[in-house]
Amino acid sequence: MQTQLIIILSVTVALTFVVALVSIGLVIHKAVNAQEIRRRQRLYTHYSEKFAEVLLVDLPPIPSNARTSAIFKQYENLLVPIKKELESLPPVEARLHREMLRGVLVDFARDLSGDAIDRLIYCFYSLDFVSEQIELLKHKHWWVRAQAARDLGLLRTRRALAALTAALEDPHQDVRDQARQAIVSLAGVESLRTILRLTRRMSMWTALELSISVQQYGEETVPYLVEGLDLPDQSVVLFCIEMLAVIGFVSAVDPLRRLAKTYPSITVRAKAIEAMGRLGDQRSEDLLVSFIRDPNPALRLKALEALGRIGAPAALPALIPRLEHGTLQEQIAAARAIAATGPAGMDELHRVAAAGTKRQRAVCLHVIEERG
Amino acid sequence: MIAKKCPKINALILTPFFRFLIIVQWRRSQTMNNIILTAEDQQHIRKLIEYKLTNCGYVVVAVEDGVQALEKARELLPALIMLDVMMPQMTGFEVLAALKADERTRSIPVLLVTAQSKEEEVLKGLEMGAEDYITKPFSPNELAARVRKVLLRKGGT
Amino acid sequence: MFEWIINSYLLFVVLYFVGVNVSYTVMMTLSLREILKYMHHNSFSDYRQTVQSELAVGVSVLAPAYNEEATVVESVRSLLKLNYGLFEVIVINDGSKDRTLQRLIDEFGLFQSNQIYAPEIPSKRVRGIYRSRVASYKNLVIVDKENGGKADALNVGINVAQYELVCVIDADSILEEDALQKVVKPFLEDHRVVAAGGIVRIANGCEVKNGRVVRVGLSTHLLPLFQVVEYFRAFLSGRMAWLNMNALLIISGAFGLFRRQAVIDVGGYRTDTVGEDMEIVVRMHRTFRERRRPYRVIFVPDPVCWTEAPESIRILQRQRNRWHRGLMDVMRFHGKMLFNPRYGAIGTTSMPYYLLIELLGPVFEFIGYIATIMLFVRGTANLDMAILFFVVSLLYGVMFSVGGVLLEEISFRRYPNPKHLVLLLFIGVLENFGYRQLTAWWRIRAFFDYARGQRGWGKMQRKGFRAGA
Repeated sequence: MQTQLIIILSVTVALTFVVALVSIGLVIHKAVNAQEIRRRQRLYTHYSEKFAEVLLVDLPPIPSNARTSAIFKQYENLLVPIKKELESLPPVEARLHREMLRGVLVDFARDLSGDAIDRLIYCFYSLDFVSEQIELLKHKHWWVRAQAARDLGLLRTRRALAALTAALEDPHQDVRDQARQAIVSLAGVESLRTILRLTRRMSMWTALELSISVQQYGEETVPYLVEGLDLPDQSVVLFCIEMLAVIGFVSAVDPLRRLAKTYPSITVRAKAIEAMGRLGDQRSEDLLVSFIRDPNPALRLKALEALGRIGAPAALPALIPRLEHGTLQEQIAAARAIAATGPAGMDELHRVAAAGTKRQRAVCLHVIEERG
Repeated sequence: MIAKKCPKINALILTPFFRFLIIVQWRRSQTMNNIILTAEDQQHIRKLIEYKLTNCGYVVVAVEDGVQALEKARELLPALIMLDVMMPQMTGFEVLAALKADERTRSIPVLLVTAQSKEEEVLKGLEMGAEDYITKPFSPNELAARVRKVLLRKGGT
Repeated sequence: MFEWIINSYLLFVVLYFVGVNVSYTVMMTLSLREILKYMHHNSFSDYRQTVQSELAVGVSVLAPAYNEEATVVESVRSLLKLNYGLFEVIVINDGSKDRTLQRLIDEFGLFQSNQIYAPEIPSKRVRGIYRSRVASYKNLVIVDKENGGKADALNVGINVAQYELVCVIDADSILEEDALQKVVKPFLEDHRVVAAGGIVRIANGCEVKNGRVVRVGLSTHLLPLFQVVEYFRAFLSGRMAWLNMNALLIISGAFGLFRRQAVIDVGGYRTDTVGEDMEIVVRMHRTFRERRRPYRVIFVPDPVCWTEAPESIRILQRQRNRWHRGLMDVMRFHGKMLFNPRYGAIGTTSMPYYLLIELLGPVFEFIGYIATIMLFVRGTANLDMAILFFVVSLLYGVMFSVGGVLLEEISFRRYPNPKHLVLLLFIGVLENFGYRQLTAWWRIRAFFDYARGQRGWGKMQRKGFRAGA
């Protein structure tokens, strides 16, 4: 009995102690942290001002035949006061300053273009961030690696290309994603080939991030995307189809026709059909019309939707019977496709809206209202 | 020149009070209004715009959210307002709508700064009465050129 | 003999108590890991660009409304301001008896549309679908239907929704502008995700302007403060831990996101329970495990939904009573999953947890109090032991309350002022003296109401789903 009491008593005391300690610790932490945040804020302001000047101050014009080193010398002069300031700090302070400095540079890199970015990249090299960040690509924590990859990409440091390519095979998804982004932004459109080859099971999020860079390059990416259509990984194929549709380049129609006809996976075929609709090229019409009678309902629906986007008057005779069959979704898609063919299609819809079955009338009224 | 030789005067010019005096001065002489109001929640960009446009000879008033922007716009009646679309509390679009609804601020040209290169957003902004837009990432020189252009166009009509 | 029974019951209570606290401790540790992982994972995502992309998936936001004429217009305005690329707002007027529908029609220039209502989940009759003539409201849909309760209204919303994801919220929830972006992300990262819940925070004491929380603060009333600490515990330390085991059973009805097709696959919300938000998630687990379909249910600790907490004892009691009856329903419908290894961690861990700790916890606690009192009455109690036990259990309670505050403090820090933290810590201690026992008592009373209510289900159902909020 006695021992039990002692045990429980000591547990009680220990618990009280822990709770009290944690609470006090938390409050202190919060107060210190608030101060720390204010200090960081101040430093950030300080360096944003400094760098706004470094990036924008007018430099004396130099002759166009001068070497690039002359330009760099000018930039270096701008950095002298900042470097001096950093050197005069004790190491712990200097680390914080450098961290904030890097934050400012990265933030600027995200939002700026034009000449200012050249100066920014120079600063990044000159302040010795590049080798530091490349080193961090091998850090044991994945989030540090990912952050380093992102920063290197935003600051377009070409020297990091090899290290970033290696990071494409990092065990952690986030690091791979950031490395992919970085490579596209610093090595340009040619890097797309490597990236597509090395990517497996691309998630929609990855696709989304990559699509932003791809869209920036526009039509230049088309050959690589077409090449990507033959890659073994289905998610990459889907991504390439999607991007071809977004970029909207007509030479993509033929490979898409081939995919829509022969690819083993229904998902990919459906996507290809959808993409043809978005490209809106006349050459795909005949194929789309043949698909509206396909035994697979998913493909039928996609084909009807695609025709609705293109607006193909020639398809009207084939479309009218589709109002009578299939699921409600298909009927609505068919009605939309009919409406898209032009005045003749609209007349047809009005006719069915007056004379068809109850469901057909509802479908037609629905679509007529949509068209306004 | 004076400012270069005497650092003290330079510091004086930079004090908010002095800046306020300058602004008051300009408000009195409405003929030479070159105040630009810029609303931007990201600090580094705010500093950059401030620096760039001050260098170009404008008087820049920078605020960090939409509510302040609206307040300052009504108070200062600037020559041009730059609005970031994505801001806390009030988005650029909401500020724009409020500006266009107010008799006094309706004629002030507005330049939208948007992170979205999405056509729809830009169209929405222009439809709501924005004079021009600029998308991030942007080049500071281009920004200055657009500001100049908008102000010229306004002066011309 | 009597003594022996009571003593062995008390021994059981002690063991139970140890078990509960061990599981809480494990959960807090798991949560901590999970939250840190989440924060690192999202520290470098650029939401700004990605959600505006053409590839982003659309979201239909479903807001059921029943007799909300005072607030409905402002709620809808705030929803239309969400910062997301492709979304629509569907307000379901669940046969309101006031002028809710008329207010919406007047405010947004609505007309009755010819849009087809093709239900994939059976529901009460839909009287009409309204859309706006104004271009900037083109993503607003109002559905007018016969009264059928919240679950039925949501089913109608799911039928009308045209996008791949549906976001379910309460009519009085205030979503932060970027909440959608954050909660959509897991759906894009992993195609197996079928449902995701977001964190719900208490808005009492915050400054709300134009349907947005502009300044975070704490209420000056005691009752909402208790709930703030309670919500931290439930969301940050509870749900994050279940996420770690892929055994999350609850997605709050105030803010959840679902893959529309998954909801249809499991047959939509059940209309014969007051715990429809938990029930549908459990049913998803059950259905998909039985069909051997890979799926994930996710909790995202960051996107914030603010909700007004009850400030009066009476309403709070009704809310807790309803939650507990909901939990009983779930256990009754899905009792088969309990301790059944076929359902993985759900069957072996989280269902038993909800049965033994959440559902029956108050009962054990209460009987424990009675047993102790009886021993005292008969004069055979060990006074020292009883007091010590009581103190230890209080201290454990304090520890976990403080732990919840701790998790908030190391992760998202929505409360800016150190004063708030001191207050919350104090509340975390205070909560264990009275408030906790009070809620336990309410939950016990729910058992009696449940037993009585069983006979009159229909009557209870029609009381209106917003009674507690």
